[in-house]
Amino acid sequence: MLRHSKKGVMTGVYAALVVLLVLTLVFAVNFGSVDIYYKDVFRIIYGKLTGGDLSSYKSSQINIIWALRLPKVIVAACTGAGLVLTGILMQAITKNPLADPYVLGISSGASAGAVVSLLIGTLPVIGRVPLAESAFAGALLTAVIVFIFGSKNGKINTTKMILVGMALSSFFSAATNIIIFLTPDARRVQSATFWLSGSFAGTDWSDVPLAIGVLVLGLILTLPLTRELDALLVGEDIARNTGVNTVRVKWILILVSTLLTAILVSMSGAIGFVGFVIPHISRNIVGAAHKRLIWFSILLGAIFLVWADLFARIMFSPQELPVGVVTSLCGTPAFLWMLRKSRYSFSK
Amino acid sequence: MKKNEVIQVKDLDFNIETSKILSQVSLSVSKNEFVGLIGPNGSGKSTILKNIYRQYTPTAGAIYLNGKNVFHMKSKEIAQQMAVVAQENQPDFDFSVQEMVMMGRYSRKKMFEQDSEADQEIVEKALSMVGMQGTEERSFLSLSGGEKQRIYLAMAFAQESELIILDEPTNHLDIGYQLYIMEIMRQFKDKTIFTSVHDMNLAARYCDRILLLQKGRILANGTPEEVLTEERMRSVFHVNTSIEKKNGYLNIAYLGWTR
Repeated sequence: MLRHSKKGVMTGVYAALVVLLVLTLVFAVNFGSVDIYYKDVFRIIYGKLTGGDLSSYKSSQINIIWALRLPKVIVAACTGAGLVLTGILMQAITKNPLADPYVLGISSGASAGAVVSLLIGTLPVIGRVPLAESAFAGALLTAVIVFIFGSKNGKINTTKMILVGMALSSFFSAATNIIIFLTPDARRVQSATFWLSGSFAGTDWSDVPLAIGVLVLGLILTLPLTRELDALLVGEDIARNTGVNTVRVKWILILVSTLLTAILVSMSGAIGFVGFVIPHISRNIVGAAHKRLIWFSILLGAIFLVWADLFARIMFSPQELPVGVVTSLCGTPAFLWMLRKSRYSFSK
Repeated sequence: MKKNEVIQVKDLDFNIETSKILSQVSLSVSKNEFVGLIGPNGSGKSTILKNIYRQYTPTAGAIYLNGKNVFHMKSKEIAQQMAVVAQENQPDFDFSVQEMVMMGRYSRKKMFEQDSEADQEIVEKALSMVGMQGTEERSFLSLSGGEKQRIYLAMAFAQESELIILDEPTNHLDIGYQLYIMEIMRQFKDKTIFTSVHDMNLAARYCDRILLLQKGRILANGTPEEVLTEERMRSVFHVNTSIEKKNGYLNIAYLGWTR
């Protein structure tokens, strides 16, 4: 659709997506079991940001908008964008359309860390195990093992790294299951399962700086590498022969992906499908060149995940679903439809 | 070292695990030469080239590009001097022809630098060199094998390097394309070409000089007439041949396999 469009057209498209994202955020903040007028949403956010007078509003209104809903939608948007960025990077490094942010097993390590915190709670020596930190430790441990086994003489062997990631994934899933099976308390098991499916239910303002920070860092490190990413997507040999320092670029990309995945997954669990399917849908629209793909798809990913989270909150309200369930439920049909409809092909 | 040597390989050894693939290979390719590497399957043709373009790391020995050791050179610096067209590579993701050929400009670009009018002209020129002008907007994956290979060739031209290495680029192509690609390469008198060749007649027709490899060693080095003899065809390739000159080129007729 937009593969051969002029630069100006693309700027317009990005602007439209940004507007759509802002509208989505406002809508998502407004929509919920307590109805609040749009203008009040704006006024409360504006008042909070500028320190203005909010005495005309009930503290419960302010609380719902500012303390409960706003941080959730911001983190959801950042997570959507971050997972999509990681998916793009992993697909370029592995040159494999099936790659997603979790291909290196990082999320399974995080999940194991999370259930340790949620179901065991305290460990000898460490004491009480906090959720996010424990998940992050699990992710980091996985990453270190993947790096040690997947590289030789400082060079990354992508195939080996994925194999190690798959093996670890299976190992940590088993470990996670053991802990779940051995936990007698059904309610705690349910809350753990909820977390494992991916959710923003526990998100508050303390997560916002980290979510924004890691996304911005990821973009700062990858946006200068769009040409390199293009070449890698065609083939590592092509990249090397056209002058890309493939050893260095692959390390940068792998480290950025790992950091993004580890932090995002420790905040909200492994939300499936976004990082895999949004890059493909975006390539179908703007083509494979990363200069366009990255901006387009991270905006799309942010919008998509905020909507998915909204559905997760309202579909069976007041009961909340894990957002990961929603992303897979709507993502899969959309993806299949796209595969049938378009000339986009995974191979040949 | 002679001044006009574009590539110089010195005492190159290459082992995979403990088996020796190349031993003590030394060779050089001078400016504006068209040099062909021939030899039976497994003799190490592609291995030599892959060591030169850094897909493999030599076990011992050194490789110089315009007098500089390639392992002390930056990736971009190498790509500015050496382009590579290897065996057909099938990507899983689709780019337009324009985007593909533009990738050849990478080594000339700084970070964040936009594609310029000049780059655009170079891409167009490279495409017309391989007879693919006007295909800029086509999807790369929709092209035939021969067309894809010509796009990779255009990518190498867009690199504007003096040296082009061809690592069995015509392997899967029919004889028409094989000749066509060799003809294109032959036209560039100011380029240095180092290529592996399977077909003896192609080698005889297009190469200034031929290197004959056997079991990881260079057996002969010279003009087609010096290297391609009926005796060597028999001892190296186990083929009986009748070699004579026709229309100014050696013509090799295969007469059957021999022990």
